[in-house]
Amino acid sequence: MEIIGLLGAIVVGTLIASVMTCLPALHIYNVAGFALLFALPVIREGLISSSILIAFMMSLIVAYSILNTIPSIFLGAPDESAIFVTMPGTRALMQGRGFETAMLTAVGSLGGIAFLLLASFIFPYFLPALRTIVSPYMHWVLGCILAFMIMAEWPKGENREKTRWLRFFNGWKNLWAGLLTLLLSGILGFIVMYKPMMPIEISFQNIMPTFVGLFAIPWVLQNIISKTEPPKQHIAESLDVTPRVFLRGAGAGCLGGIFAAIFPIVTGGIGGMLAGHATAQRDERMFIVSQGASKVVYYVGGFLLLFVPGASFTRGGMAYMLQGVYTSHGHSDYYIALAVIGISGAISFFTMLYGTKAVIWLIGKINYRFISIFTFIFITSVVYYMGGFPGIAVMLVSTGIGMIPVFFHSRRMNCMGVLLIPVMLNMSGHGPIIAHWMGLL
Amino acid sequence: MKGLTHFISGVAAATCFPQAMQISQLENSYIIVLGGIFGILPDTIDFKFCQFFEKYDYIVDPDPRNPDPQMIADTIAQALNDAHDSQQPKSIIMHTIKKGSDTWRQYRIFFDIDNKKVRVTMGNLVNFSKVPYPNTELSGKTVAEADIHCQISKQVYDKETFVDIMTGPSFMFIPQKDGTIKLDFLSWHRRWSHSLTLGVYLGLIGWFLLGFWLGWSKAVIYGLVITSGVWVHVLQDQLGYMGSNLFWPFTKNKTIGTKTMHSGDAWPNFSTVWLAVTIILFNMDANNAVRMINMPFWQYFIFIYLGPLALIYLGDKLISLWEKYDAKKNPIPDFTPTGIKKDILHQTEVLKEVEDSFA
Repeated sequence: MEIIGLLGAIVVGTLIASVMTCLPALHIYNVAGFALLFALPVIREGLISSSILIAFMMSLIVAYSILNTIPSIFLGAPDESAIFVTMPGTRALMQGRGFETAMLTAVGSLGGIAFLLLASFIFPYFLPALRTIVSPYMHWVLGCILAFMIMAEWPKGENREKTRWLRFFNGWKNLWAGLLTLLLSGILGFIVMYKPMMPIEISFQNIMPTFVGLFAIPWVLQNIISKTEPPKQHIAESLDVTPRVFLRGAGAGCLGGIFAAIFPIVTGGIGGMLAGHATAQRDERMFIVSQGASKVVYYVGGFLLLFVPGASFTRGGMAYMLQGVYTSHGHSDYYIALAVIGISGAISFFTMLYGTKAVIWLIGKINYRFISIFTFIFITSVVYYMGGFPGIAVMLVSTGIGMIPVFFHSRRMNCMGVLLIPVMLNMSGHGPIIAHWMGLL
Repeated sequence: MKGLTHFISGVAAATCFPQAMQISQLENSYIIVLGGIFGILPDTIDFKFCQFFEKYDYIVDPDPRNPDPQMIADTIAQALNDAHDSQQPKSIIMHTIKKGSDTWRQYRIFFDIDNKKVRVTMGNLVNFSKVPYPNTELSGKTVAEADIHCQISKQVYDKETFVDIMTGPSFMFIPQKDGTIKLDFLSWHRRWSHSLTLGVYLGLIGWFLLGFWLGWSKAVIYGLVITSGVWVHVLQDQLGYMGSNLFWPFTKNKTIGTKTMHSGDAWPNFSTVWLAVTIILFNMDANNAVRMINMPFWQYFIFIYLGPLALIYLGDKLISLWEKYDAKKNPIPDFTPTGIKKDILHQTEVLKEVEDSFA
């Protein structure tokens, strides 16, 4: 009976997430947060066992981490972890290869699932030790990521101007824009963290309007303004991916994903990008596969860490929500979580296959600009529903910052300063001092 | 090496100073980050500053609507001849031909050393990933040659140069004592910025400036972290093809790299990053009150670094064997002329070293 309940929770969780993920800007943490709010009385009454709860929540995040490629590529509304897929994805969409690109990320995701299941045997031995070693130095580890993000953005000018100073200023346009984005995101992060504007009853959604404004709205606006119309999409019957491309891409993605899962604030996209640099990736297919693997290992691995016996890290929104109502049952919970990852991952791969085809059919039937306008209205409505006018105000300010990279062709990753800067400074004890300077304390 | 490789190597070097680790732990300091910052700084100096302030004697800027290969070949030949006649170094930049937001017209420059010619070939339109668009060949004249009346030195790299996306490449044509002309590819790269002496200067400046604030003895640690970051970068770059001017201002010319690896390739980068992470974790643990690594460094090194790397290497070799087997079974014809294959490879090696910075 318990097994049937578990399987039911996995199937229901996977299917709900598969549908919800295709709705732009609706993060699975929003869905899980509301699901928990409604389920809380039932959980407290003991009518739902913790295994069922784990199965449901885990299948939500597994399906989301695989399928969130769909809104990123086809609707141009990525979350903070899929932002790196959007650029090559949109390019492929405009060449009629959107399906192929989406399925490349799905193949990478399968690699990520396989990695998590294989590595699960060493996690209980390796992770507690790693946590003890790294904890006292977390502030400068995050400092290193921030410094690398700043220093590894290179000039994009064409060195064509007549005078040297003009060449310098033109070359530095995107660098200044990147620095400005990072700084403004950091300031916004301080404000959002120290003076939350979301209503107290949904305080767990505090960062949602910020992320929507920084990452999703600028893409959607760009799609509306540029009046792009994707060509007919080719449904490829096979993927142009060799074993080497798959293994190198998935390997790098898994490394980046697990790094992001273990270290706070580092997202799957950033982890994947760092791992891509570390393994000197050149091939775009390899990059896409790696991003697919990275976001799965980041989201699912981050949540899995809550169940690792002896480690029980709390990483990611889902783990933070669950820890209030969840008590660990040791190894049994860990094994249930692993089984859910395998089953839900397999189901999600197929829902991805058919979900992608369905969205391609949709964008073939309806004007793409109309879809972008609908996406914009939908996103704004979700933010209004969750946060009211304060939420919309935060979203508007975030959109202003998120548009800077669009205008100046700088890295959108700089928007991650919204979390990186305040959290890094909080860890080193400097955060409250700066918040005080800003009049937030 | 890739930017991240230099950065994390600088961080690893910084963690090797126990005092720096103590400062970072007890005072919540970011001193270790300085290792990374100065580890990537030499490339930052070149690609964010020096490239813009380089003075060019000749500029090739083809008309996007009607690019003329003969004009390009003539200008390059003129610059080479001028360097020879005047016995002065002459610099030239070849601008890219931008056709759209994600579209460029590619062209290739071939230095035919034996026949004393410069050959320019117009190519297809390419996208940002340098992938050519089919059926976009230029109509009319696509190949042009120009004679040069001097001998080009035998090159370590670079006989054929691809000009495609973003900023175009540049050369310095430098007259040599034997009467030949040396082609110095991206002459602004790896000059004074990639010298061991600069590391010493920056360390001293760091020590002097921070000394007023933190005290002279503590500032020494900061100075050492800065110097080690720069030195690690400079020494790593010697393993590639391009080399650098190691002892500027006491030496003026770039030395040639040891050519032991292709510095843009996956293996050297991955193994270096893995090594750096291995060192960082060991040094973190060594400075913690509770130690988790209860084994000597050599054992830890085999367990964490050599073991996994050997496994990955083995996997890589197995895939290569399978690929060879597959290529034999389903051969793909190679149309590259045998004679110029070696030259293309050399060009690729140089570009790999710097491509990260362009991208």
